[in-house]
Amino acid sequence: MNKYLAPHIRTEAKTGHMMMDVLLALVPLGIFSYINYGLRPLIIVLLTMLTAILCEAICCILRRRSLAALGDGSAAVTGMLIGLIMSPMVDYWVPMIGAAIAIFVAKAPFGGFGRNVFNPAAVGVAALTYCFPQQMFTYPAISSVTTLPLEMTLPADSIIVEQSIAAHLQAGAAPALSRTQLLLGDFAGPIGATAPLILVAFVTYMMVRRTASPWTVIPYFVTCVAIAWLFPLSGMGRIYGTVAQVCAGYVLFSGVFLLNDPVTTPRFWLGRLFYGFFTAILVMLLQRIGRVEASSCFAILIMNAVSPIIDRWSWHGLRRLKKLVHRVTGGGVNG
Amino acid sequence: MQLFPRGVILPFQKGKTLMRGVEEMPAPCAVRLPVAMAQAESPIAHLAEDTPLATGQELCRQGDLPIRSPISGTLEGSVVINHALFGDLLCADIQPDGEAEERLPIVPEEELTPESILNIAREAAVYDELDGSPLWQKLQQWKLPQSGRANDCILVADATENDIYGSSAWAVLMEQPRLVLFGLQAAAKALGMSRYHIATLLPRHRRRVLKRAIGRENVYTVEDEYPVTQFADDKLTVYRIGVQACLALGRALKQGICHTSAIVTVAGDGVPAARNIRVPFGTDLSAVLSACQAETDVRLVLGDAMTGTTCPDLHTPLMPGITTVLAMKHQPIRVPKPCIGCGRCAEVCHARLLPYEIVRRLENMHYERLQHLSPADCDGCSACSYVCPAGRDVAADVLKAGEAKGMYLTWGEDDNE
Repeated sequence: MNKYLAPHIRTEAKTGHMMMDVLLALVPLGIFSYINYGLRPLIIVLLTMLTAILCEAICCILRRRSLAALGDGSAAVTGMLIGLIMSPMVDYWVPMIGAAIAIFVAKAPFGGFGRNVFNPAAVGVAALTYCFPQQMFTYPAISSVTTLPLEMTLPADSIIVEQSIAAHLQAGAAPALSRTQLLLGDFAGPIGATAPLILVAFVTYMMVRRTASPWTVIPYFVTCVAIAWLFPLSGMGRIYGTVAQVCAGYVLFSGVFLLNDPVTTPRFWLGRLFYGFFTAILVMLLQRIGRVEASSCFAILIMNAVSPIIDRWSWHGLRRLKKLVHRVTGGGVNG
Repeated sequence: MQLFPRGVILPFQKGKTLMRGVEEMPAPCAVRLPVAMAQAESPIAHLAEDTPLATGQELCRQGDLPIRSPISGTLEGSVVINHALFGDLLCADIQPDGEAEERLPIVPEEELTPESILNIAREAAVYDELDGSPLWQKLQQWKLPQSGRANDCILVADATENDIYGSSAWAVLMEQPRLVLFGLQAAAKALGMSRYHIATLLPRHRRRVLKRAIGRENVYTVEDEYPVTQFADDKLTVYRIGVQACLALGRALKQGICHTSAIVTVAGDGVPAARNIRVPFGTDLSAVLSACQAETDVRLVLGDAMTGTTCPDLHTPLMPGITTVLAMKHQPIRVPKPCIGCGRCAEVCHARLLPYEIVRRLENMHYERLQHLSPADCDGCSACSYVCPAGRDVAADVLKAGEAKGMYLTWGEDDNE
């Protein structure tokens, strides 16, 4: 009967605003990669975003939904994340396949935005890691290039290739980089994952805007740093080893973007805390024993699968604990 | 103090309303006073048509409680109306005429006993605006169980008004603070409680004036968040009554005036200048809206913006328990988007529930697992719906789950609409 339910006034915050906040990352990271590699990385990211949006539109049409659903920006975010995690040398079609997998496999079959179990971007990257490891993990030496050519496939011998930090660490050797170089992102790696200071600044911005929850981000980074500190790698100093491990691979990138996807993380504050904590342990563990650089993507996917359970159990656990405390303290007064 | 404060901070829309003070209706209007449920035998059958009535004159009794004429005029007859909140009601039509007023005999202050205070509260037909029930009944209920624990209990006059538009309690407090305090003291005396105070959220400078008028110890400042959950210090059991009820009780005791009108905040985006206005019970709300120059194509909301009910009919009589009437032009309805799990509903829930999970189980028809999440703890403050970025009616679903009480809901209910 009553179509207009209370409350009769709502906040201005909308789902789209949160996604726009994430899309804003394109500005600093885009400038950073343009300075390093020229236009090529920007084209990669934009093409991936367009593919993701196109795939989302196809899904909307297939599911007889209004195309207005594209306005929430979630497809663009998925595309952007996949694009940012690519090597600047990658062929244009590789991330586009990743975006299509993300939307067609990880998102649409589960019912679209808000219902996906796994983070679509992480699924896309994980699939690419297995299909095209050569393409994904070959990085140009940052000191030797200023502008990458824009052709579809870069000729193999025209560019000096360098190993990423994660590859160095897996080989058990210290990368030949100073600490300043590490912090400023002056090393070979994915388009958007090699700028630690930008990423940390951006996650702070997201926490202030409440797009990212401090309950996940802070435990994640604290645990990552703690593990790197407590279990140092042989052959390098403790502090240097810690910085190198946190900057290596996708550790930072996952903590800033993949970890804060609201759909696949727990929603209760204690659940978020556990989620950040366990993800960090898994990320660091896979970093040490895993074979691929993208280990943090797999860690996130594993944690996505258990996040609803973490969420519920932490809530129930806290309730029970409170009741117990109440009984113990209150019982003394009454009895 | 709580480690993780809950609730939301709502926009403040009351400054200009407060500046105007309490206004009177420009001209007396016809009154349609509900006297009984429609099925019952007409309790005013003994009164002939065209009976002259004075303000406060007894029309009939509902149980022990007298129903008094809110205006002076003539009785025109009775009519059955359909009220959005209370269903079919039998109403007495009264046309305004003259200024006759009937008052109760005044008992000297020093002779007041708990029984005589309760008696006067009943005879003056004082209603508590917090829930629209008779104050006398509430006091009588509270009196029995709490005897002997007077020091653990506190009687609070609730003037928080932490919703978006409502400011009638503040206006009352600013206008007649001493009479409100007197009424509160009398109610506390009737209950045998030694502790009482007025809980309010008045802006700071006005609070200072209030404290100067009635004493610092009688004013308690609540936390500025919606909903307010703490009306007194932690260890006390709080009993809450409305400020207008206190005022009505004070007036009945001191001046013998019966409770026949309410101070109502008329606001909303369809009203150019919101104001607090004194309206006799039973006045047609469309007349109140037009007295406030409200626009015509508006939606009437009984109650404030967070918890009010939309009333499909503008011609609804004012009943005790309504202190805010909104004329809303814009419909906040959006196409609800899927829940993205931002978790803000759980952050603001002062009952510490998981609203998103309750809604999800309701949607997935996991009714048997609903009760683990204790949805019955929800008091319908609507803070979760307010903050939801996807524009979902979270609170309505949680309330639905709470009312189900473990029973299976009707399947396919939505298909019939």
